Amino acid sequence: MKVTTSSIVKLSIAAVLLIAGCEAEPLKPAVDEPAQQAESQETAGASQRPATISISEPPSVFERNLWDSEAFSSAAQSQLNVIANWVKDPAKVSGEQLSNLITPSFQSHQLRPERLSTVFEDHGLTVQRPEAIATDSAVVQNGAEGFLRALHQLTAPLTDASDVRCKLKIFGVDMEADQATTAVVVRLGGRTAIQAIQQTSEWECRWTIGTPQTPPRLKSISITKDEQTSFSGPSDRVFADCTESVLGGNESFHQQLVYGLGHWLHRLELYYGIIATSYHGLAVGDVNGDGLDDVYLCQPGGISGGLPNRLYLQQPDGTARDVSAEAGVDWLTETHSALFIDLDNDGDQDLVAATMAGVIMAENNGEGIFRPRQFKLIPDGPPISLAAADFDNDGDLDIYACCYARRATAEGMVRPVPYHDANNGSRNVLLRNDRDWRFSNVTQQVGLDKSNRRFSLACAWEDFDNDGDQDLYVANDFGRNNLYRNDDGIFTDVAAELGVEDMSAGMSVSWGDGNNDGWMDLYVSNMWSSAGNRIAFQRQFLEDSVTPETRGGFQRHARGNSLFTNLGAGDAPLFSDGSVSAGVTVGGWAWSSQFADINNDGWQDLIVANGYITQESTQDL
Amino acid sequence: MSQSPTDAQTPANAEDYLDNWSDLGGMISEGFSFSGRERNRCFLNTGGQQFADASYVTGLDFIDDGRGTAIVDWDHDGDLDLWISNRTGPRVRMLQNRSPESNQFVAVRLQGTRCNRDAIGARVQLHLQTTISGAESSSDGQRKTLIRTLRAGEGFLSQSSKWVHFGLGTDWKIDRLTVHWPSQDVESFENILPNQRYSIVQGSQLAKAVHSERLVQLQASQLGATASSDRSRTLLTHRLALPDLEFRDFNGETRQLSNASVTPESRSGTLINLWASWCRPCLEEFDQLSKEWSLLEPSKLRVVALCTDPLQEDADLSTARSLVQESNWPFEFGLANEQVIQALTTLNNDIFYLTQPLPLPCSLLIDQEGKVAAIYKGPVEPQQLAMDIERLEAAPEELARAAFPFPGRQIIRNYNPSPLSLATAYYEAGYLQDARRELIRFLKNIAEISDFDRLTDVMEGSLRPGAIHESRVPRHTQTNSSSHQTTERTRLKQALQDLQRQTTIKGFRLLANIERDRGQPKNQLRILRQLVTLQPDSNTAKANLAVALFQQGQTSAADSILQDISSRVSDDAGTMVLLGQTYMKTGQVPSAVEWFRKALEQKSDSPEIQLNLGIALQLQGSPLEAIQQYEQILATTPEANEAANNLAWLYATHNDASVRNPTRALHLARDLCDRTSYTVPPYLGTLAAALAQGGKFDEAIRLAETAASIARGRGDNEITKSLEKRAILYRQGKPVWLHSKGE
Repeated sequence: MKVTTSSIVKLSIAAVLLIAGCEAEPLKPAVDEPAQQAESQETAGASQRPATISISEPPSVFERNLWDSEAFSSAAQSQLNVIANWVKDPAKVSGEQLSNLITPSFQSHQLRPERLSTVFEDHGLTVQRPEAIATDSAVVQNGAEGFLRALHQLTAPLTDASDVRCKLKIFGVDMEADQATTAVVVRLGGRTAIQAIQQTSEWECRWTIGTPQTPPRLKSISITKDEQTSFSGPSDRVFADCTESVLGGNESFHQQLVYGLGHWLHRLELYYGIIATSYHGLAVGDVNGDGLDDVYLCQPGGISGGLPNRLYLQQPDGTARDVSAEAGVDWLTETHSALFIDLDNDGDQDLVAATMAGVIMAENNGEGIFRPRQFKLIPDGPPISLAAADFDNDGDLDIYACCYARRATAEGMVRPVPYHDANNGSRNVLLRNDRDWRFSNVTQQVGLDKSNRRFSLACAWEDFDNDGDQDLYVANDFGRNNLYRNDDGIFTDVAAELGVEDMSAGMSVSWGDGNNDGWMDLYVSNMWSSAGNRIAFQRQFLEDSVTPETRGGFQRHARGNSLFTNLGAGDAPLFSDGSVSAGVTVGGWAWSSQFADINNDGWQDLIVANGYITQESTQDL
Repeated sequence: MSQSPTDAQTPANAEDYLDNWSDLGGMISEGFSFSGRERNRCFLNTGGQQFADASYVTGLDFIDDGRGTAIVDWDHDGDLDLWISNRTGPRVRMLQNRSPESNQFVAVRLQGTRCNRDAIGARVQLHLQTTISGAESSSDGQRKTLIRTLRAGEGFLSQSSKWVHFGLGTDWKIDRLTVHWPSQDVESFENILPNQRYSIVQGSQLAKAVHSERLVQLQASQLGATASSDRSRTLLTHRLALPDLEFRDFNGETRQLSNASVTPESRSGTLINLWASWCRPCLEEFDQLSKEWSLLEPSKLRVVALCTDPLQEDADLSTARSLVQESNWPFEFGLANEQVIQALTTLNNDIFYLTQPLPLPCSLLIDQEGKVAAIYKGPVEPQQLAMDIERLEAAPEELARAAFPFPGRQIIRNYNPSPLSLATAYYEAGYLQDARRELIRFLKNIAEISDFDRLTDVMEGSLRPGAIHESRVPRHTQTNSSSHQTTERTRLKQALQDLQRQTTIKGFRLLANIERDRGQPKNQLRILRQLVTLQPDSNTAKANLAVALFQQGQTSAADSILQDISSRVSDDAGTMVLLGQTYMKTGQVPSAVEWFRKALEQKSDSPEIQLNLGIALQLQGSPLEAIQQYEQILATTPEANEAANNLAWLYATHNDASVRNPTRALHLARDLCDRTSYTVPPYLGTLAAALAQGGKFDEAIRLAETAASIARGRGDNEITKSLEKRAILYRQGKPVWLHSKGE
């Protein structure tokens, strides 16, 4: 009797059966490649690199349709991946594979500029940039040997490095009749015995066009931008992942948090309302008044239930203990975000939560035990991010809640229209604290109802004009953002006037004085999409159907994060957009991003959490 | 991207655009990634103008799908650590900052006294002076000021610590630290030392050093995503019906998979199992179930084990056939076919967000009604199965408890907001059109709501703190006698009708208010008339109509309604009070006084009627009689706040000196404010008036302004204005020499 446990059976119909639950023998999943495998491909140790390669004749031009730049990009990207793989592990790339990347007349400059000047140095952190990109052009590498020399020169600092990473990504394409030029971002990193180093470059690559059968080949590479950053200190990197050390003593961590949302999408009924995007944040606050900050974690599910939210109480030794149940905050309703704030001014941290059902306010009894006191239904749709401030200066905290899409009706979901400037989402609300756990929705009354049907994801209060009251910035997906100026408790949207509409896919707001001039600057997360950059800048993109403004809108959508520098009162416009020159746009599909001085040098750095949906399939939409 | 409508005129439901969205959703549910495997970023500020990519060297470049970020000096070692929430596993990370300790820091924790207690919105400035001699030696000049604001909520879905943290570098010393409190006052602190944490209470003029002796030794580890197991069990709270399906057994006989006819009532349900002859876990599962069959036997579970061998290419049934013949598994064996697999796969895809092929082995527990009650991927645990069988008849709340993977509080009772609560929320926010739309749609549909539970949900509030969903009428009442069932049905039907009527009335009341606020008096009257028709016995409904008629100038119609109520009042004090209040609302004070007096004759000891009468008398211009009523109330109920307030106001402000009694006014108002902790603006206003009457203008001004500020915060505009006006009077040294009206 032949018994097997590892084969995947393809039935004659669409259904595919695979084996589950056999703990003893590992199972082969019915997907292209598991996530771990894809990850390990990006990371590898360095080893011996081959010395010579040979080249055959390049292919000819193939016929192009309207969207051939994407077909070309995909083929060229595969070629670049060969370089990345070689950097990570030369043994896995044959000389033939390398030779198939280039034309006989290939030319490149040095891929790692050598005449660098140190632009920043601070106790182990060093940043170097080339004095001038052009000065290295004197060194020209020709042909196959030159290509290999250039690659070796690029990876020289990574010799014997561990945890080597390399990624090359095309973010711009220009197609001509017989050749194409791509803009490529190159990221290289590794840890040597003495330091962690990384190189971030942009290359301009010229290619032959290729055909579906014969991939494009590199005619030349030149560096257009380069930056080399290193860290040497008491640890491998600036931050150490201590998650397990802090939370590992809790059953809930091992049973619930180590698994990604995908695990729960296979286990929680769709009926609860669970979806794949996962808008689940966290709040830090001292809930029991012991002087140590604790952390509340919002959990996925749906309106009728899911995974219970978690409250971890910090212990003097820095570890954290799960007290969710005894504290009364193990709520099952899906929660997006939460705030610890003293709503009743009695000296303890109360809890506000943005749940799928609405905003819930719970009172702290002073010892970290919570009792729900108020529920505010937001009629348009569920709240996403929360931000509290005393907007009317009456001594209690009011709550602003951002809402995204409107609640689905019998007619179905309401989608953003138009995509680049949608104002048909759910209205955000300002809940005024009327004391005694009463809150009024005063959105309309205080003037916050202008441009208020946007797909809002984030909000933050700040006195941007230094006049002593709290103004409000709201980041909206699919279009322009709001900056509401507060004048005696009445708000006016001045985003357009002050140059901070940031028409894009706004996902996060952070205020901070980035240049230490005494005025709060603004950092907004958007989507930096390599595909968006490639497509939106193609000449034929929406060529016949839209105005240049709309086209510009789509292009702006793909630019990435924005840094608006506050020029202070008296100047017009009040903010200047220096995002590109500051070098802070490439944040990926960016969610929370924040100013934080991570090295205590008095300058506020930026951290960006990003990535939309990683599933088992490496096929990315 | 290319298919999006590009102008606002295109409807949001443009077909191809919507198709694109659902295609995208479909591909995600099929398991595609979408901008996945992106590494988090860190940009290092290199001097205020430019940033450098430091993602790799800082170690923040996790490949997680990051979401929220909270910044906190968790371990109090003077640098900023991070908590990040993720979509992928681990769904949270704690990242400890291990920077060299060469750079200095200062952190402050604020506590508001005049502003909000958390001091959210406070701006802290740290003024620094260079320690390097010569201005050129520093790129920043000789002095610089760092600013931070204490915020609650920023980034995306995140709240960071309330400790306000400054990095100082090494070449700077602290000149002073300034706090701009949100209540606009400013405090400055000198002698602030680096590498210290301070606590500052507003107005204390003191920055108190906070020392914490802690030993924090956290270990670093490489934490990757934990692979999900293929094995799972999901108990459904929302059961989906299995379609009628057939299969053949090993003898070629056709059988029914699951429907009532083959699941006699004596059976608990059916377990449909998919297996294959080559699948070792499947066979082990059979052995396990057989071994522990005694657990399942009492439930009379029918197990249908469908072999998938026939669906393989070059199917050969001999292995499966001999397995079935040689073993003594107590199951009903059969052969799977395409229709069965297709149907079960479709069910699986309807139950879960991710559409996935079914694994082997895989089982579905079907209840007596032919609905899927549980789904098991991988081998079924016999004990788990026995427990789930017991839950087949469980009440919804018990089922929910058992279905959620982990215990927790189901804080929200209603799964979906009721149209009535939606309309009420819109109305409160001033969105009259939206409120009206929801309400009208609801009122049109209400007769069609035949589900008692849903209607109960509609009627009740959405939040029951800490409570679990429980249905008012148990769905699974165990009844045997048919007559009892008939009674039960009649009772339920009656209850449903009552609820429909009550709900309609509630909806109409709200709608009447909406129409009034929209300036649609005719609509308002029409709805009020409908309310009278719906509740022919309700005097309140009639009175409401009368008030609206009066306000719209139809005085005779209003009067005839009131006459009608009056003629049938007999000795009912409640109706008398209603009449009195209605006459007050229509401005007919003498009639109001008359009805309140009559009511008081019926119930002489009612403070509520006395208060009504007192107010009516006060309005009528009979201060001495009003005073008499108020004093009577206070004699029996000293803590009657409204009576005390009105009385104090009369004593303090009446324009007839013989009525005024400043000493008693002050005493009453002081007591009242003490009792209510100086938080109720009208009471504070009365105390201010009493003080002004006694010549204590400074205190009167202060109190009136405090009261105005509280009232403003609560949106009580009228009270705010009158308090502000009186504060102006007091500034001019004038008491309230105005005609008194109890506030």
